[in-house]
Amino acid sequence: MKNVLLLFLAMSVSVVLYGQRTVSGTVTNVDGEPLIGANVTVVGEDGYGTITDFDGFFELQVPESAEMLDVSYIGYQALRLELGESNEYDVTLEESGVVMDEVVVVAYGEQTRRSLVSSVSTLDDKAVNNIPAVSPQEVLQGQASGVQIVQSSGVLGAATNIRIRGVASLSAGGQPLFVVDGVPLNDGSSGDYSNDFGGATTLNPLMNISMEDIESMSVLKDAAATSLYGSRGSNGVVLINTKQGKAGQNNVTFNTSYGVGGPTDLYDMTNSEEYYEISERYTGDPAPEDPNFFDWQDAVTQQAQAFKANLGFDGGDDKTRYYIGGAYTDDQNYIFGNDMEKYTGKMNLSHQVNDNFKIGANLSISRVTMDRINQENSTFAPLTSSYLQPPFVDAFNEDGSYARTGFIANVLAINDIGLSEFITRRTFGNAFLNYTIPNVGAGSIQIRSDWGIDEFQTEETIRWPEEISPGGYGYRRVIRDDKWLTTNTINYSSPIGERSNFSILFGQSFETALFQGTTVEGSGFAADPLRNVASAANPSITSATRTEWALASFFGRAQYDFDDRFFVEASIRRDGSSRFGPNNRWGNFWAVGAGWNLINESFMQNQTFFNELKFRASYGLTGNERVGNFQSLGLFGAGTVSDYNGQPGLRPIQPANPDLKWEQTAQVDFGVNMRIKNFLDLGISVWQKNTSDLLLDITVPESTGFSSITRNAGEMLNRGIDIDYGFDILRNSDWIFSLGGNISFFQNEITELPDATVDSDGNQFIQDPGTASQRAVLGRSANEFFLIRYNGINSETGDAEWLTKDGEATTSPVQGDRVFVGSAIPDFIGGVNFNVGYKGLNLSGLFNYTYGNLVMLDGLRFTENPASGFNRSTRLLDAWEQPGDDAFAPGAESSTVGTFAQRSTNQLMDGSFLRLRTLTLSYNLPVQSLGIDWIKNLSVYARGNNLLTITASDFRGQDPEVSDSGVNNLIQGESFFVVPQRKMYTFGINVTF
Amino acid sequence: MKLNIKLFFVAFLAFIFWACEEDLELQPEQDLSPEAAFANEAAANASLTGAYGRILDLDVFGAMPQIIGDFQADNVEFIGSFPTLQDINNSSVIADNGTIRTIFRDHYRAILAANAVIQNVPNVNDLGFSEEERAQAIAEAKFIRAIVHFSLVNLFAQPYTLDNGASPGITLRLEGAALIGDFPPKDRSSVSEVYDQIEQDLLDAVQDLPEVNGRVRASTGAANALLSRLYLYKGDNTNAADYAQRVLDEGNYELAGDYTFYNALTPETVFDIAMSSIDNSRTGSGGWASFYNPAEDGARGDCPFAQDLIDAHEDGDRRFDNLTQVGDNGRIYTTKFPDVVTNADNAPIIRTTEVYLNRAEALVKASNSIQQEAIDIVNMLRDRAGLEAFSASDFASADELIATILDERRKELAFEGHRRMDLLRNGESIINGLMPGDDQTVMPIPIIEIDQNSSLPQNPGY
Repeated sequence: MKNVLLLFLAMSVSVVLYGQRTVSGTVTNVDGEPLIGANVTVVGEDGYGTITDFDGFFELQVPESAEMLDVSYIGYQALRLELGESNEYDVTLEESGVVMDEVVVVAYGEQTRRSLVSSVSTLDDKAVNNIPAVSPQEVLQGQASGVQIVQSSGVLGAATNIRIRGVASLSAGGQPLFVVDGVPLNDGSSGDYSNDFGGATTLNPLMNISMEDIESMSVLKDAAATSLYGSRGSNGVVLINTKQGKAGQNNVTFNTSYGVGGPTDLYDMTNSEEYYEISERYTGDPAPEDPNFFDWQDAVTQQAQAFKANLGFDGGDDKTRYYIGGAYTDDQNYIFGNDMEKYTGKMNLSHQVNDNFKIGANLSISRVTMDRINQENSTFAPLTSSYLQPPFVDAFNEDGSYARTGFIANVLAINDIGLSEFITRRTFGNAFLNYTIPNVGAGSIQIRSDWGIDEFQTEETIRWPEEISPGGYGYRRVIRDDKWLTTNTINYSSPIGERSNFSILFGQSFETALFQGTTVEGSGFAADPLRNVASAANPSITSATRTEWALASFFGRAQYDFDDRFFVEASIRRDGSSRFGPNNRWGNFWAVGAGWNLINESFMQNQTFFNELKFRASYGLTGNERVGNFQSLGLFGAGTVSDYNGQPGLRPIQPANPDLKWEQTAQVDFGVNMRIKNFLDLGISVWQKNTSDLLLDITVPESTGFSSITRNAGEMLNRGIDIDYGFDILRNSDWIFSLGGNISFFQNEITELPDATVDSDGNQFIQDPGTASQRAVLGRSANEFFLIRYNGINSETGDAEWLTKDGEATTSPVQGDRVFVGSAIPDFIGGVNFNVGYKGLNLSGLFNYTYGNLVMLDGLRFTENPASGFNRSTRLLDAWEQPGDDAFAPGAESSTVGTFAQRSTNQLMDGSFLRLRTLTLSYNLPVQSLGIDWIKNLSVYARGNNLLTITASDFRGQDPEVSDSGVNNLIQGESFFVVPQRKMYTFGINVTF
Repeated sequence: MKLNIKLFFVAFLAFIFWACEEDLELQPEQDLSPEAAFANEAAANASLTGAYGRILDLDVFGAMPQIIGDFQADNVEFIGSFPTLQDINNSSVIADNGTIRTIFRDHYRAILAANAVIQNVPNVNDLGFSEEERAQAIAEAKFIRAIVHFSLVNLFAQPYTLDNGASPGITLRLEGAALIGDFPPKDRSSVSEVYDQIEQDLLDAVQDLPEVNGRVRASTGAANALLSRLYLYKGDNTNAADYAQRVLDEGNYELAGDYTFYNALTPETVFDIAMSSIDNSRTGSGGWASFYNPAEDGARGDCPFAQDLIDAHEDGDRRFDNLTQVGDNGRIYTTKFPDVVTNADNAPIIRTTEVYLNRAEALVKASNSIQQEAIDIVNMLRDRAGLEAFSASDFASADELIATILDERRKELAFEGHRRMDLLRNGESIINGLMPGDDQTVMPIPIIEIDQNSSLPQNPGY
């Protein structure tokens, strides 16, 4: 016994003498989350090291002589820890900012950017939530290279037009595919989700997604990335991943914000005195004394207010992870009649049943209720009617009741006593089983079966009482778009030898969606409180329709990498769609990509200029199948037009095209990613897309009984350069300063356009019937403006002048004087973001810009028309009076007074702009040091949106970012009184417990 | 372990190929394939109904071409704001006139619907669909094809009587190839070729049409009456008189006693287009009631009486006293199409009155002498109008009698679309001094049609 004790004493003495002690602690990131599996090693002594456990905790025996520990974790900056007297150390690691370590979500998997051979842009949680966006598309603006976003309108809920790498298509859908947690969402390609009563554009189908639930977004741009989406990959793919919860912690997050705002700009309209001054000048009628004035613009606008709150619970342990969140938004736009109330809920759950078997489910529900403005290109829309209604027309009668204001309806009355409600509900989600078979050869097999749904429903109710529509009017439309899909994959991955890795994936997928709509409309109500069409004496629409679509696919991908230097990847997908003609039901899409990580080459080891250098290239084929559900079939239609004398009828409505197939895009991409001197991250991609078999409505002789047939004909070329850059200017424990951004150049050209209409100069073109200003032209772009050139007011005569086709000045131009004057497609677009921080205080901002595109402001033909009875812009006050005057409007006696406002380049202007999209000042309270240990994170912020817009010098519209035909490929950059974007000032608090 | 993997693989592969090809063969639910549209008797009849539905359209018999027939002549003074119609009124039409294009297009849509029936009915696989029923369906479709081709050739080509039908006519479409995506370009036939085809279609149809078919669908009376009109326009007066008599001999058709017959299916009606409150030709652009009623009633008010027509009526003429109203703008409007609210007025296409007038005019022209029967017909109409009768001695020559017949025809059929052709086929001038043979007398082939087929000749002057 004594011997044992003595031995023990000797041993401990020897331990003390030989200098070993136990050092322990935790490793966390700046958000307080433990880093599991972080490396902790002793500097200078081999053989002493450990990794952190699920709580981020480590315990390590270190020799007494040890002075420093190295703590490192992938994606984070390694930290060298000085050892002192204490044996307990809590280490916080900063994110490394090294782009190459970034984990990127790709089709059916994940890769680090280092191993990526395709072109993908990513946005993380912070980038997503820094913009108070209503929908995911808005977030992408300026934050992903090669992605052109145009907010078509400032109306809440309006669709956003996205073009990834140029114009994808002419007649088929041009929007990218949105995939949330592996479920491709319904996007309105089967039928319209909203009818013409809504804002200028269609409804944004992704409005129901809650931004707070998003963990990251990936934009897949080249063929290697998108070919696994086969016949839907031509327009690019946006992958959205929602929060899953992290092991080893439990967090409660609460965010709330409140903002106010108004329009970025509005037209300056005349008051009654100014209005009559203009009238008097041109008609000679004397202005009345003391005319009535009603400020319509003021009456239809109000302060915008937006309130948001969300609560989330996330966390987990080594087996189970969860995220449960709910969000509420109450948003009132600066135009009345445009409110939105949104509720969303999300639950993501995953559980590791045993070592090999994992299950999980993600579910999202939402409901958005909107009070929607009438179509912007209509006298019923508030802002539009305020620009058209003359200022002397009053909204109220003497007795205070609403006045009948004639041709332009009294929008105050409609908004106040009419009902226009739009409710959308969406339930989407997926459930999966994941089975891993380890130890198959050197690797493992993963089998996954995934089942997803997307159920989308909209309800539109309109009810106008007696005062607005004699007899009363009622309307209701309910549509459902229900999708379900299954995706099953089997993936084998294994290292080969010591230096290579290989993986191969096989998959199968089946997807189908059913679109149903029911519409009723009627007039003749006994009394206003009778809200529903059931009470209408004269039903005018009774309709119920249904249409279905299905897609069956097989796909595969193989990846091989060698020595962390060479990466090769090949993928293939075979799609069969119900939309294609029976002769072309199935299509094959494939891609190959390769990457070379130069930085790991032996000859690069001795240089210090590059920290990372990688080349990559890819080539592949993808498709676009966004045609109507039955465009290949010959069809006879039923309905009222076919009926006669009370008998049901059928009439031919569509000619057959059994050869109809998808549009095909071949894309080649070369890229280089580098990091220079630990200071600059640079990524450059050069790409070209050739789209063939473009779907076109080919005109046929109308004497055949049809006007057109949809055929695959036509070819288009897009090419460009995407550059992403980031400067890591300063990063230490107190300060952070980084600057980054992207810029994308691109060109679009139509290379073949068979059977198109030919104009008098021999140019072949296609023109959408909805525009009189632009065309898609062979040898030029898809959005070329074709207008008479305006030459200004002749300072000697006071006449307005235009140019003939040959360039001669004339006061009476004809349609034959129209020439090509430019494109709605920009030369380049991009964004710049900056981030400055000192300890907890942080200032960040995002600019986005677009350059070289033209916009056509059709509304100016009405407001700048001295001869019309509509309201007038104050610019008309600047009229010519005597020779030598430089004026805006023609002289009183001029013969051109009546034609001054005709469609010409007078309404066409440069739409280039630079906009400060977001500016956020935030302060992260140092709760840890204040000793409040039950709060993990508390920050407050003030944010401004669209604070500053710099436009071209000749731009006299409201907002250069405008496109009132929404997602129509053939009509871009046109506006007829589209509601401008809004400026918002928001204050918010984020707290994590 | 290995065995388990193999089993799993096999099961998984089986699972993978579970998606069936049939799931991709989906069909539309609001529309039918051409096979389904003629799958049985009911569907085939519905396809025939659809052809009638097509001629109800605004731009076929829904008033648009018919108002041109009256305002491009001397019955109506067009005061509307539609720029395309103003161009016609001013005789400054250009080849991309939108209204002309729509008229052209919608006529051919109706012809395609009729051709679909003619082509497919013989092959309908339904034993309950008897030979007589099939023949009738084809006959009705041929009637539709004939009347639509006739409407086209009148508007887009010079009158037959100008040069015996030698002028360029219209493109005849006699097959439904377009349904299967086949669009053969076809040239314009001459006016005489077009007339021959219309005549053939109607003669074929008469064989198989029923005598009674509700007055809103084709019948032997309608086909014979249309033939009499065709022969009259052609100048074949013997046949014109003969076929008019065949209609009258049936015993189904009589002159109404007064002017309350409009929009009612009485023996005065030979062929009307049926309209109802939910199925009519009214659109935002116009319609029968919309064009012919004053603006304060909720119509467009575009087509009041021309002064010339007012002057043509004698005092006490009931056609003026009972069938007119005065608008707030001081103009006089017809009351033949009063239903501005629900637009359910039927469109009168062929009436017993016209049949009588065809016969009267043809008899006099064929014999080039004063025919008592013709005078009797005129007197029947004048009696109904409350005017004095004529006697043979009131006419110095056959030409004077013809002039009187045409004058009564004008007053009887005013606002029903006849006047323009009645003037042109008799070598008279229409609006703005245009004579038969002048460029702006006829409408241009739409420029978009010429663009598709550069060898298609355009009418001169466009």
